[in-house]
Amino acid sequence: MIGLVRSSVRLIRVTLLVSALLLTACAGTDTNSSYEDEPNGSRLFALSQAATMAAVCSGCHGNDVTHDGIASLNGYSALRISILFRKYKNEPESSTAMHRMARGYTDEQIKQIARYLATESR
Amino acid sequence: MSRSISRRELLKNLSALGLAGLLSPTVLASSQSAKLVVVGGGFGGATVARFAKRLLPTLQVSLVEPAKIYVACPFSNLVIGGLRSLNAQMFSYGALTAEGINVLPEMAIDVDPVARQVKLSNKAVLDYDKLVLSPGIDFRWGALEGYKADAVNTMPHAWKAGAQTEILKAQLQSMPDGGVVAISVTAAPFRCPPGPYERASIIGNYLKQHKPKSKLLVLDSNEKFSKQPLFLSAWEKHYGNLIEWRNPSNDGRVNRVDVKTMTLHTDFDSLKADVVNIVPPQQAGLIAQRAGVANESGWCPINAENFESPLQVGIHVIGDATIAAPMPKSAFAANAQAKVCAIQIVRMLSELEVEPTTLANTCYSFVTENKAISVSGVYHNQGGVLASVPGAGGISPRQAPDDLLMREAVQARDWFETITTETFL
Repeated sequence: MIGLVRSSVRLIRVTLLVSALLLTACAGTDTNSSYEDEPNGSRLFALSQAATMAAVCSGCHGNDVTHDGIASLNGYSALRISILFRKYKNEPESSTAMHRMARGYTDEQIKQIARYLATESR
Repeated sequence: MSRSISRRELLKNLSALGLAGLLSPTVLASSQSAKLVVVGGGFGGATVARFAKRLLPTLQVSLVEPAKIYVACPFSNLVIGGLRSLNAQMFSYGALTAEGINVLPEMAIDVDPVARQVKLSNKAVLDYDKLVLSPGIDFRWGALEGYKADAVNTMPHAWKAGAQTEILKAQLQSMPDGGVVAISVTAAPFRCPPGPYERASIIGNYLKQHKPKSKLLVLDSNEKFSKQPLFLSAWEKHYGNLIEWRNPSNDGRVNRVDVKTMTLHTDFDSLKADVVNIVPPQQAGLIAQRAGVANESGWCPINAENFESPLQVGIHVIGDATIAAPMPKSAFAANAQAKVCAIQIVRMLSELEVEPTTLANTCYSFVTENKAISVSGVYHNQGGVLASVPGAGGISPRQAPDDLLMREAVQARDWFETITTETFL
């Protein structure tokens, strides 16, 4: 995730002013309530609800692809993350921490988290 | 929908035209020179400093931490049991300095919440717009009668890792086979709820291998504990009669210790031990009391949406010092809270509203040198109060086969590497 954040910092720098401008431009109509449509890599995306939810993930899922206990999600597509996340959620067993945590998220939250992780890892 | 499409296209067009740099909205100006001070360089403090700086590179971030080398508590029970080097627990702040964080090796001794200033042990004064306190725990010396600061070399707590970890390890190694080890566990809340029981497991593992005639007594001020059924069955399976756990109903509560005679006094009895490990009564780190963010319990209430103190505007508190139950006092929780806190602080500095979110926690505990168990939880923070998401979380399956527990041990090691990399490296 450090790598993810590092790469996103570059994007943040580029889009910082633009995002801020858009905020001002949309004042009164922008409700903060949905970041579904925020551009990937923008500063607002990095400050979005998807980002706060996905923040938890990077404590376990890092950049080290040699880990065979907890996978690095580097290079995973949003779809792949979503499918795996929902598989954990829907399996009846509790054999890993991920099974037990996945049950705490709605399918919509999973979609948002997956999109964030897939975007920020590139 | 059409608005969002046009916004995206506008963004693309502006970027393509290179017009962005010509514009300087007030939103940005307000956050450009903002100062963030973070007190405490553990899993909470180091993480919040790093993430805030990355999210808002113009933010001036200072991290106040007296120790130049941080010694991590997670996995330090393995050091006590002779299974891991203390060096593997040590981390410096070099990476944070390299990222532009002003790391100050001083003690924060006072906070003026009105002037928005932090006073340091070298008499320096730091101004702040936002202050994050991640001070961890301090011990309430004397709250357990007979256990004062000068007792820790004889009866180590080893509840802050470092020299204390080595003392407890050395005492176990010099104890004769057939000796008695006692662990006294204070009443909750305390740092790392499953920690005392992982420690019992790993000391049990050491005694079984090296001093099998010995006895380990866990004298507990709590009737129940974290992952209890899993620990109790692991102890029975791996250590038999070597470990004995007594709760207050079985006269397990320690009320007084005598350091000179190595005696522990419970409600109805007293006993001597060769090695005494005290998990002492705790409270939020001292600076939290100085800043006025701790309440009468000694811990810090928080608005869990952005971790701001309801007692002092502009001061946020994260990690073990907070009242965040049902989220535990764990490194995982501190690190997760830090990342959410960093995002919300940058949102506040950017005049964006704070948003509720969902957080999670997992604590792994080793029950032998290569088997671990875990407990997880998922938490909403809507309305500023952390609440467990129904139907989520829980502990490893009971009667889990060994291979599952061995996989959890591998996951635990991966977790430690990843979280320490994210926080320090």
